[in-house]
Amino acid sequence: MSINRRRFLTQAGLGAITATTAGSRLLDSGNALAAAGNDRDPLSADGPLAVEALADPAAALGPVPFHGPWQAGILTAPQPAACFASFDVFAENRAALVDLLRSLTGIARFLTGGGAPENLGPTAPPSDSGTLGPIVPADGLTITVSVGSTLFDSRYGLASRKPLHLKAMPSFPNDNLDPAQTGGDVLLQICAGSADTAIHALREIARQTYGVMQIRWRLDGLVAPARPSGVPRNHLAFKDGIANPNVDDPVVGNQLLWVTDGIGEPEWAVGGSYHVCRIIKMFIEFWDRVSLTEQQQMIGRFRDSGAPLDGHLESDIPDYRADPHGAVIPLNAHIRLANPRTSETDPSRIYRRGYNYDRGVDRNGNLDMGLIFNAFQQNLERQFEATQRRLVGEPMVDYVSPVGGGYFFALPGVQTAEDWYARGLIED
Amino acid sequence: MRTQTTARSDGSVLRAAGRAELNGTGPGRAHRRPRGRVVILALALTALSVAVSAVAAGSAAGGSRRSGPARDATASSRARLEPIAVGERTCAPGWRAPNAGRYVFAISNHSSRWAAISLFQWGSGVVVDKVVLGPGGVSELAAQLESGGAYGWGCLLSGLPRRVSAEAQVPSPQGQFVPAVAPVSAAQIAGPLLRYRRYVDGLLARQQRQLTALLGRATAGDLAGAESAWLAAHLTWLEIGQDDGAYGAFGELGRMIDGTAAGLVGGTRSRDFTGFHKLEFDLWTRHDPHAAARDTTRLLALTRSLSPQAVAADLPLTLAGMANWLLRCHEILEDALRDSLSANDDYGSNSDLASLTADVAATREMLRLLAPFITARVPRLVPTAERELSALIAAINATGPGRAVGIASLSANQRERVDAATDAALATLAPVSDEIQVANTT
Repeated sequence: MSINRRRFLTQAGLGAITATTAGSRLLDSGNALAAAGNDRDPLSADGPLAVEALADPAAALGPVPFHGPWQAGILTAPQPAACFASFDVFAENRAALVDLLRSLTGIARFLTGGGAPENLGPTAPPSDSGTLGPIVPADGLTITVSVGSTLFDSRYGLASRKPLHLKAMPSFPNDNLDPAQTGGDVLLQICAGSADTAIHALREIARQTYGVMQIRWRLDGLVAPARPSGVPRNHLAFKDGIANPNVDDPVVGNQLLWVTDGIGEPEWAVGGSYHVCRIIKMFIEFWDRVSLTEQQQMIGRFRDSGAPLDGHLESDIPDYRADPHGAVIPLNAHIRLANPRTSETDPSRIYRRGYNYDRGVDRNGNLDMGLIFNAFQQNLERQFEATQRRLVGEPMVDYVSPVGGGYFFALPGVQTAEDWYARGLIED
Repeated sequence: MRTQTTARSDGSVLRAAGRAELNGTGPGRAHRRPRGRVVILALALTALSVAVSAVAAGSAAGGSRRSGPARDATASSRARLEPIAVGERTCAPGWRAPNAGRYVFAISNHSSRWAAISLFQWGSGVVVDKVVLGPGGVSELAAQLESGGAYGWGCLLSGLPRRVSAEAQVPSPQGQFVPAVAPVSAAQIAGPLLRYRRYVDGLLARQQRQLTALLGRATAGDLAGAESAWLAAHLTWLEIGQDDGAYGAFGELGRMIDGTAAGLVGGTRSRDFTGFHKLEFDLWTRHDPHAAARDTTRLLALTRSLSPQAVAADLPLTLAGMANWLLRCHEILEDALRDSLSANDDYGSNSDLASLTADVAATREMLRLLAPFITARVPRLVPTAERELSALIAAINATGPGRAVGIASLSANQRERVDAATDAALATLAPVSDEIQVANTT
């Protein structure tokens, strides 16, 4: 190493310390640079920081309680950033699977609470990658663990304990599923206040479970800020998720969201929920070549306000009985087919917690963007599949294409410090 | 509302400039831009009075929940906001057209009824834009008023006869009158649509001969001969402009003739996987001429049912049928972009670029049939589209000799050139179905 190289490292280190201690370094940097220039070669001096942190990211979102009758990340208001990662499990036997689930629980418990990672001493690699700094902030992190039907095959002797409706996601008539991004034994829905927190969690989980489970597919998501208010927009520019049922209400939650006693499900599954995750590509270039009138007729809402076409506010409830022939909201508009708002279809309502995705460019030069459709429900067939059947052939299908995802079952919550994911499934 | 909203990104400004170029007008004299697809207008017009009354009845029963606050009014920040009031007995009283330019009208419905309020060109009756408002509702309508044009407001309140505002003439600096272009009548579109049916009938007859040849080659176990016959027959199908049976062309039959295995349980193993792509799979992936012979027999039975009567039923002379047909001006190429240029519908033949050539031919046929109507509205659209389609063909031909070059084996630069040429043509073609409004009256 040359002397110049060493000098550069020293100065870079000093620069980093200055950056973390001086909040208003950008304002002072001009003077600092001028002062440094007096006695140093200007070519070797540090310039001003390109980016100044606006606020302490750790203060953005506090910890979300990890223990409870159901997992965090379902009723939790959607955090801005998400990472969906599906894994295949390679644990050799049931005991190794238990080890995996216990370690996963430990990592998730630590990361969602935040704190100082364990010091493993000078001879081991650090216990934490360190990308969030020396003290891991909670940053609203939730790690929601769901299992696919394949985990209940012959490998671990769990077949008899499979949730009643859990199965591989079928291909619906307008789907174009790519096996490489469909299915998996375990789905992690990792959500946080910022993208680096979510990806840090995935990185820690992956490296501490190497060899026992392997990432099958992965997709990052984000929730756009309100533009300008109300429910966030998807990449079609329409507000998405306006008509979510109020699952915070325990009565609604027990009818639509959670697996409860007495509905024929295994006892261990109570407090869990069927988790449908679908990667829905959107042909946004094509969409952008369509008139606003046609866009709104396809959705059934005004793009700007989010109001149904017979209303003024996004919170207005469309009145389909007053519009039986679809003159105002067409009979095949997305919102009308998805939720016809009748007493017969109300039990099929689903709770959506979706994220937008954006991942580079398609083979044909179009932007690869879309929606991570992400929904939780008590009964796959009564809810998601019934809704999906109503939507077959809707005009919107020309502009979207489901390409992956899967059916999963979100495990019941981890209740205590001694409890672990799926303990009821495996031990009882 | 692609060129009519006011709060636009810089990208849209570029696009708007492109439109002005197509129109042969400068920025100060943008061309009339009627909105909405015919299907919507036709249905809305026939059902509006009924539906508005029905909705109003429901609203009255439900109280005044929907009256009151305005929708988000963010679009108005940079435009001149002109109030337009509608009441039980009044329709835009005091309406005087301001100078030419872009306006956002703040429309308020002071009545206790549902109201369909439209801005239209006086004389021709062409609707520039319209809003439907509940009792007490407020909304915005953005529009470009042309120099020398004459405009009025139409107010249709549920249960009341339609009222019209006074006529207002937008002053023209040169003192000249810019005539409005009348909507196209169904009778005018019927001619080109009938010619298109004959075009389809001719191609289908050719395709039957090509499929019969394919059957002969496949039965003889001649794989290479069968492949070449498949390519010819499939390109003929694509020249019809019915790629993958999209947009409901020929309905379920279209899907069986040219659908992919996407969405089928079992994928390529599904019994419902039939038609051209199944044959392609037989020939190029399974190398099985005997399976191809069986599947050709099946395909021949399917295509034989596409008689001139079936074609006529698929392309009906109704307003909705005409509107659907007009969409093909851009949707044939939209399909190609989505399926061929992504190689999503390739089952081994590597014929996606050849398919694209056939899609261009189908698009050109649409342009040829509709040229007089398009040119009357957007003078330079047809020559621009023709130039861009030629550039696309040149980009395809530049990828090398012969046509069996797979998309995946092109260089990045070659792919980008083909994609770029397709995108350019699509952006030009997309407005055609909005520009031609069949039998659109106020």
